[in-house]
Amino acid sequence: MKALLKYDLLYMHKTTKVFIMLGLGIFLAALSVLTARYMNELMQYAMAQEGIGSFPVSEPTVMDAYIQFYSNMQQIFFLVFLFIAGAFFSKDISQGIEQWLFARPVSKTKYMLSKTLVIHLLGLFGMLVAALFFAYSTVFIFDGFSFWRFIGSLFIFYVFVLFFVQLLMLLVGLFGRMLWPMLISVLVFFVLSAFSPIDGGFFKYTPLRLPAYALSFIMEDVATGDLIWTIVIGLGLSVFLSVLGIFLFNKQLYKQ
Amino acid sequence: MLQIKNLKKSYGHITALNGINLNVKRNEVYGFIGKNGAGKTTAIELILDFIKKDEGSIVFDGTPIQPGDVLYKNKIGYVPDAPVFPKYLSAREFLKTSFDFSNNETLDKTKQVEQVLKFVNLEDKPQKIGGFSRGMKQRLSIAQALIHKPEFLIMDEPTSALDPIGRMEMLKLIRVLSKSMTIFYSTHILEDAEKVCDRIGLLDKGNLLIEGSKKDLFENKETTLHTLITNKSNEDTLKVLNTLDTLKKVSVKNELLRIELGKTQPFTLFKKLHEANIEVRSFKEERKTLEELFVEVTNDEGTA
Repeated sequence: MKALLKYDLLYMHKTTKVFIMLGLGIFLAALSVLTARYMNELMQYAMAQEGIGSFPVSEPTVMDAYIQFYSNMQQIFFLVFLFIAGAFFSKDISQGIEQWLFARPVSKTKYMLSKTLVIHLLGLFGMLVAALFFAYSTVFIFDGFSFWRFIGSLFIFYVFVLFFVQLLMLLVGLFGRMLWPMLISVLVFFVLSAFSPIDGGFFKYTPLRLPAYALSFIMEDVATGDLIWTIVIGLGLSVFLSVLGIFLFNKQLYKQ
Repeated sequence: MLQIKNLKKSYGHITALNGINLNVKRNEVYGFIGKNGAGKTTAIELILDFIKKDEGSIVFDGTPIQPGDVLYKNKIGYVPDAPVFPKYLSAREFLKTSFDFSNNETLDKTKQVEQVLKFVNLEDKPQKIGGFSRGMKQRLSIAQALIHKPEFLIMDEPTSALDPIGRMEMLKLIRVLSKSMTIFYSTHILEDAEKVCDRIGLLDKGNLLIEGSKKDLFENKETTLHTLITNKSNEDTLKVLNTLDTLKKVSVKNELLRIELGKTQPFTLFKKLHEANIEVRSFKEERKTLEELFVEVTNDEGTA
């Protein structure tokens, strides 16, 4: 397992995935703060230029910053990360490197576990860097930044990311390639997103609601029971997808 | 060292291996010979547990291999037919990673990596593997297979993509390696197999047709033939030879008449030629090449 972790971390380092996630995280954090702070002023300026006339807009608050941050994380960071995860899970098989790997005493279960661990280390690292940069900038620009609530909301948001990465891992275990797993995962994301406004029954607890719950958690405007259930379901589904993914990968014949 | 019994594998309706039996002895070079598509790579993939067998057993070093077993691979080095590497690593980094996977705690990693790099002449190549030539990649493939000092080396068509000089170097390397390990050498290049193998198994359409030492195979009467030179043209000589019903086969190769005597005694042949006023200038016994033997066994002259 140690050798596998070393191999996967070496890949992340040598192929600059670490720096991509780091750069993306910082960029999105900065973008979120700046957008929240100056968006209203920019809109007023633009409308004045067009002769629409000015109208009173409220002063931006820290809530605007949180909303911008999670919006960017869900729409950009998450999709880029999903793409990197798909390439990472499937690269050895699609490139033919698995012959070299599995001719050695390497367990397929440990192989997938190592990949899972390393990809989430990368995701958490990127998100944490983004969060810290965001927190640092927000504290100076807005009043009322709640650091620990923000950290808690990150955990809630990451359960959402976890679910989709594990779904992707399962699909790579099934197909052994990147294209179909990526397409299906993104399709599931968009389909579930379309249903996410439905606040009842099954849809109340889908992992897609977690980004919204992350914001509600910061605002202290969330039913604790619903939040816990959604997190538990998200984690449960992720574990289920992981186990099934490893099982399918073990069954997979890499070459037909 | 490796015993395969009644090994079967099909892909849908296509039978890749049809119950083969083979036995590789310790410290020999076993030539696993067959045309492309004969089932050689499938057999190797089954030995390495890359794919699941339909029937049969594979016993390695006295222990039957079960699906999911990995420990026996510590004793195996594998040189694939088309090696692929992580392009972002250098040869040294790649070999260090390969070593880490092998769980060999008795060897010193740095020392072993340097030794193996020197052995394959890649010790002064610091660039990434992505910039390597085909020959360098093939040598690196051998290096990764040797990095954990395996007892059993599987080589799947290691010379098929190499130029003549590369091939010669590879055969030299196999000869050196054969002094310290068992080699399972899969190839369709019969000339190469003839040069380096101690024993040979001929595979065709998923069936192992012959297995034995090179000596056994070539000492067999069926594997000898005679070349004949006379004072007349081949056409004239052939006319006479064709009247001998007991001759097994007569052919012309490189302007030489090649005769498989079958039940014919040489004396009868000479007498017949003498009666036709044909003088024999040379009559030599020759061993068939492995290629000829292969063609004969597979009964498929056009493709070998």
